[in-house]
Amino acid sequence: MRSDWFAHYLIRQAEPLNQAYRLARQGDPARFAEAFSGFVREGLDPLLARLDHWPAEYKSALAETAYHSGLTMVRHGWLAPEHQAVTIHLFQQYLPDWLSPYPEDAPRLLTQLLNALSHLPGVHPRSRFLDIWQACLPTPEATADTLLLLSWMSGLPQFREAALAAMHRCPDLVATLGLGDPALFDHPWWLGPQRQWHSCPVELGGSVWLGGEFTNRPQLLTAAGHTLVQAGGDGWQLHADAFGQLLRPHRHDHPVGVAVPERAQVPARLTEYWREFDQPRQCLERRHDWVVSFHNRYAVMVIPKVGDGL
Amino acid sequence: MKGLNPFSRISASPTRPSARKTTDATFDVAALVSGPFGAAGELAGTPSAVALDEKLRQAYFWIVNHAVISPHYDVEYNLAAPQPIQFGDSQTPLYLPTDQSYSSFILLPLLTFAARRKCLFIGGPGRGKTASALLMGLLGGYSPKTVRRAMQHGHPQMTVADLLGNPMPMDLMQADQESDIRISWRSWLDMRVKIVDEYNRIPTRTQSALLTVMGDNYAEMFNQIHECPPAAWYLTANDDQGGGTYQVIEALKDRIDVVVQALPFNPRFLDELLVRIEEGVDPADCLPQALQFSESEMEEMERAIRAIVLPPALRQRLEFFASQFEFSEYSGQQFEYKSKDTSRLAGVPRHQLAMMENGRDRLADLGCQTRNGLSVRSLMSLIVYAKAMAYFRGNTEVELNDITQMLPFVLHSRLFADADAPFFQQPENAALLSDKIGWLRHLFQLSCREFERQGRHRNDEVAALKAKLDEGLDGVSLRECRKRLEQIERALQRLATGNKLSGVVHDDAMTLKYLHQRYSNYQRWLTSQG
Repeated sequence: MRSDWFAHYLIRQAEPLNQAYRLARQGDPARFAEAFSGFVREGLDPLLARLDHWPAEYKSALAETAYHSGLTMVRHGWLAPEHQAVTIHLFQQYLPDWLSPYPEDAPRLLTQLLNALSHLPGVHPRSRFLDIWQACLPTPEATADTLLLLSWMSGLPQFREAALAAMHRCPDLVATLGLGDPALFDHPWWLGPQRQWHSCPVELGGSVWLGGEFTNRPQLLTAAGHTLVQAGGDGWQLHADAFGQLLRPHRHDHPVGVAVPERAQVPARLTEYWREFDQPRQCLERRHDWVVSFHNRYAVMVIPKVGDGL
Repeated sequence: MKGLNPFSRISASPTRPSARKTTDATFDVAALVSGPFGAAGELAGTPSAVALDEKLRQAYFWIVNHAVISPHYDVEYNLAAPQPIQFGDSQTPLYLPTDQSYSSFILLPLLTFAARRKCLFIGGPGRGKTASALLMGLLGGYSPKTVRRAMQHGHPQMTVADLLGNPMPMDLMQADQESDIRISWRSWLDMRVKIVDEYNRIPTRTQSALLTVMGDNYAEMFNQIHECPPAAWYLTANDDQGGGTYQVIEALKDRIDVVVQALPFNPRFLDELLVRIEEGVDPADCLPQALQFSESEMEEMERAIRAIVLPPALRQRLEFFASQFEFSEYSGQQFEYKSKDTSRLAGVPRHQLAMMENGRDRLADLGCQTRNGLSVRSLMSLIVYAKAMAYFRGNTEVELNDITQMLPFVLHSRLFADADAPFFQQPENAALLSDKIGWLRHLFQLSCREFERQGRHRNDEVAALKAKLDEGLDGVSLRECRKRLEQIERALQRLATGNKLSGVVHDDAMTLKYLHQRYSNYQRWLTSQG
């Protein structure tokens, strides 16, 4: 063990820690044990070794939270081979750098960060998120806004509005991240001064048997300024911008949507985005993009109004 | 190691999201920092205080998820008609509820806790009756040790002193009069949750002392009185049919508001038992502190339950249901004495009376299915539990299904089936003789169907006449009084000519007679005033 304090802590608290472990265990016991002991050795121990200068009470609080989080991470596959490197790097590098000045807030900050990461779709967005995180390492006060902004930019478009508000609240953060003028992000297909515009169309959905979400051909509806997608008995709200696209199941008590008319005239310049034999069913023109559904496809297409002729 | 034990975790998400909420579909940004890693402080504006009904639901879900393995959802709620799946030769339907449904074995004790009433657990040994009662004690804010020690275990040698306390030995020797004898009252009497295990093993004399505490909330010994605080009561018995060591006195039985049956263990959940054995964990020791209710919270919860509205339309259905059972046409000569209680007190056998029946359809008449009628106490219990159920579901008004679901548990030991009734001779109804919950629920549904068939939800003349009287007699003129008397007499005539004499007709006739008396007395007074 790199941290003597942590070694003693494990011995002192062996009974409740073991009990928590055994109650959280699921799946193959040997694999679970291997993954979790790897986390304790490679993640938790280095973290507490780097924070050795903290008073014991703060170390205990963080160790307890991190131990519990570790069990959750094993259950959620964060220590499976393809995710392990990112998770371990988080504990070895990012967390000690970030949490070191804030011993009192550390358990809360750790949980907030892990919860936010748990919403990201897959390991790559998580990895990108942490790379940017390393560049800003926010104070406890700025953590919530930073989480919002980075989560949105890492593929959670449902947080877009809250993230834009956070951008306006935190000019220092915007400057650190080199995002330029926040007002430009009012256009949902603006990626920032470096990558500029997202101009390619995006497709969402797909039939259930092809691993998609729709049990039927999707239909477009509008309700209270939102775009809804209906397929069979299920409904979603469409979130799409340059940083991510998502169909979020919408609640039953959501206002009833109005169907977008079918057989409306589709602008000729859009036809280049689909195959010759595709038959557009609905074409909803929004301020910054078009959303198209098809008679013969189980997907909806979002075409940004970016570039020549659009 | 606070927060480390998975048994101690409470779901942060609302247990019944639509409960008392507006249909605000806006996105909740706080969701970003909520997730599998637990609660982590809040973003600005996130509410932290938990409403008591939400806390009650959290307690329910904690118990079903961690403490008592009861994968039975027999208290069913539906938003849309559920699709039945038929099983076996008997084509028994299994319904998949379309709304949040509950396990009666946990729900009823919890409602008892919230409304501070009295609950009896019945079922074979080792089915979790005592464990459930213990959990309710923990919800009341007591430690497991305290609850275990305060639990009264019934046994054949249990004396009144064992139950209530002992006189001070020195006072017994030196006292000149009874009032000088100080009593060392047992500490359980002061608890807000009282548990009596195996109450049907308590000797009859001690049962009487228990009756005083349960019924009147005080204990008496040597002319000394000890007032007890309002409490939720839990009693357990292996058998509700007198199979204990002693027959339970009727009055004590009637004090019990609900009876809950422990359902059998489903061996598919053996893995959960295995974890408990291997880890040496008793979930009762792990109840999160956040789920414990203080004395003031219990009081507030009870007040809130009483404030839940029982809509008049539902009250009418309940009145109609309750009217069916007490009536017995040949039990008495005078109209008022035509009740099952009259013949019971006189010791006249039921079958003798049944032989005299020749007018009414004994298969359709719900009153013929029971041996007795409903007591006032049972109706009060039913209303309280229907309100508690509505409260638990986050509503401000009782719904019809709240009554349908609570009724069988309240009437379980109060309304007894007549096994000789033609209804039970039908092959499809034979199983209802042993399935009391199913029978009582069916009985209420039949009653509601008849209520609607008679169109009482649209037009109820007797209720309208009674409502007029309830407005008061102040300012009612002699002419108006005569007019109303005529209306009552006409209504009585219609009732007599258009109907067979049944429980409902009998109660309506009695109500009209009551109204007639009130108006005629008033008329006499007006006349005497000149």
